This record gives sequence, C-alpha cells and structure tokens, in this order.
Amino acid sequence: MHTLKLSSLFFAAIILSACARPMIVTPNLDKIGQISTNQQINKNVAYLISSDVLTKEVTTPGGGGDKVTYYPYRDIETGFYKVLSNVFANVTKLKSASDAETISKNNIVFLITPTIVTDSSSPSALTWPPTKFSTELTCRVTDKLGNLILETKVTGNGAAEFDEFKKDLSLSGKRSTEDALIKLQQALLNAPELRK
Amino acid sequence: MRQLITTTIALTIAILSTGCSMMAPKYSPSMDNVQALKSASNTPVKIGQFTSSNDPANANPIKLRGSALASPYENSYSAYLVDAIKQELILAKRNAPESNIEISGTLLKNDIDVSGFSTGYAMIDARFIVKRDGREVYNQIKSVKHEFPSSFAGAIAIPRGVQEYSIAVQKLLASLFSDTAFIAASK
Repeated sequence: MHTLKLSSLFFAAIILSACARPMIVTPNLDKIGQISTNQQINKNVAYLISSDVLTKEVTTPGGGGDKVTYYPYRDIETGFYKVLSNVFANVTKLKSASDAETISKNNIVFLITPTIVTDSSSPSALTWPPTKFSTELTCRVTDKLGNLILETKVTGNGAAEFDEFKKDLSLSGKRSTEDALIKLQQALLNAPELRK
Repeated sequence: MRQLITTTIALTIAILSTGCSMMAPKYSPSMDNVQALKSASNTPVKIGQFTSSNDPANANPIKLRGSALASPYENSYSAYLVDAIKQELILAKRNAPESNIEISGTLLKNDIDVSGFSTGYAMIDARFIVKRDGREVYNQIKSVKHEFPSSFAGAIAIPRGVQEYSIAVQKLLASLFSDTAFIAASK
C-alpha cells in the first residue's frame, strides 16, 4: 500500500509540477487599423527595446492553480512597430540609446522606450488558460538629447471564455495586447506634445 | 501491486505523450531583420518560388513527441518561409512583385526536437538564390540550430517547441540578411 501511495504521489507530482504553460500573446495586426495620412505626425522616431528586455520571460497566474509564461516584448514588438509606423513618418529600431550614428543618419526627432506590465487570471479550477488578461503599456518619449517630451500609459484588457479559448489557448492575452496597441495609437495621435 | 504500479507509469507516459495534430502559429516578423533590410538598401525585390527537398530531415508535418505540427501556410513549410520573407520585406518597404531582383530557394532541412528533458532544438537549412534580370547572382545555403529550454512534461515541451519554430525562422533569415554577399546581390 505504501508503494501505491508513493506511485500516486509520483504521478501527481509529474502532472502538477512545472505547470507554467507557454503561451503567445502576439496581437492580430489586422485589428490595428491604418490612419489617414493627414492625421500622421510628420516626424522620424526610433524605439528602443534592448535584447535583454526582448527575451524577458514573464509568468502570471492562469486557471486551476497553473501559471502561464510568455515573452511580452517579443510578442508585442511587431504590433508596436506597426503602431509607430502608422503614427509617425518613419520608424527605426535602435540597438542602444547611445547609437548616435543611427539617430543622426535617420534624422530621429523622438526616442520611444516602452515598458510592459501584464497580469492574468481565471476563476476556473479545471482549465489553465487565463480568462482575463491585462497589458499595461507605458511609453516614455524623449528628444534625442534625452529630455522628456511625453509619458503615456494605456491598459489593454482581454477576456475569453472556454467556448472561445478552446480553439486558441492564448486568446485573452492576444486580445489584451491588441487593445493596448489600439489605445496607444490613439494616445500618440492625440498628444499635442508630439506635434510641436 | 506490481501491475498497479506498471499501470500508473503507463498512464503517466500516455498522458505526457498524447498524440494529436496541431497547426503552427503564423510567422511573427523580427524587427531586427526588418531593420537590417532597411539599413542595407531601399531597392525593391520580389519573391520567387521556394521548393522543398525530399530529404527525411525536411519534416512535414514536424513530429513533436508523437504530435504532428502542420504549417499554417497551405500545409507547406517552404510556403511558411516565403511568407516570412514577404512579411519582413513588406515592413521594410522593399517588397515589389515587379522588381527585376528575385529571391527564390529550397527548404532543405526542417525539424524540431523536443525529445530532451531540459533542452529543445529547431533546425532549419535552406538554399537561397538571388537572380537579377534572370541571371543568378547569389546562391548559398543558410543553416540555423536554435536551442531553447524544454521540459520532461509534454504539456510544456510541445507548446514550447511550437512557439520556438518562428524564432528559428527569424534566426535563419537574420543570417541571410546580414550576409554581405546577399546585401550586395539584392541592392
């Protein structure tokens, strides 16, 4: 009987251990609409996401006592680039904030650094994908000398119930990052500081 | 008692290696690749045909501990590669179907290995050919072996392998776009 208990514990340990489930929170780029050219800000910008930040893995709660793990910067970067390309005349990715040659060569006016904070949850005891997901996206905009021009923060929310996420286990996360990027695009377009 | 233990272990293995069919997520462009394309030139290029070799190492579908991973692009991993290049050219504003410079190629090797308990690998080899006005100006094989953390548990290892395939393709294209011979041939 003792052996049976040990076997059961071994079985349960294998099933329950290391339960940080990988997921992808890449937004659907088609949901981030283009804007008319007369709304665009006619300035060249650069953004900075260092390679350390890009490969930063984040773990947040899922359902049933499980956790979910993902790379928010890596997953959001293409959408972030699309938002900046929609809003500004030209967008360059910088390797570092001190990359003066690239800043000069591309006539960069603003340098944009994003910070992402995520959270997730699920009331379900039986399924691990989060039913609620939030993405707080803060953008710090400076001029090329490092002077702060604008800091804007948006929060994207995503929700998905079992009937929806059984086809895409990352759905609430994807909806959340889409929502954050759509709100960011609007916030940048509405910022008078960027049009001076 | 021994039979009960054997049954428990067999059940564990069955749960951890459940076979099923999955579709790989669509390619997610690398902004480093887009920036490399933009920095190299603004010459437009077009994408020609990509074929797939019959080598057994060129898996389709890719097997992940008994699960089968299909390409989301017409069930073809060479079509996956075409879309990856196309997306990055579009973002770099260098995609033009009427260009006299054409990139084509062959997918030679394509596989993901998540059999290890702590490390997984995605391996891709592809031949890339650049033609200018129909004349070949570049012909090279690029290879990538992308290493990523894996797990004993299939519920972790399989989705991780699926997730990392796109990163392996990004690295393959990064090696192409940073090749000075390719840059010279496509500008």
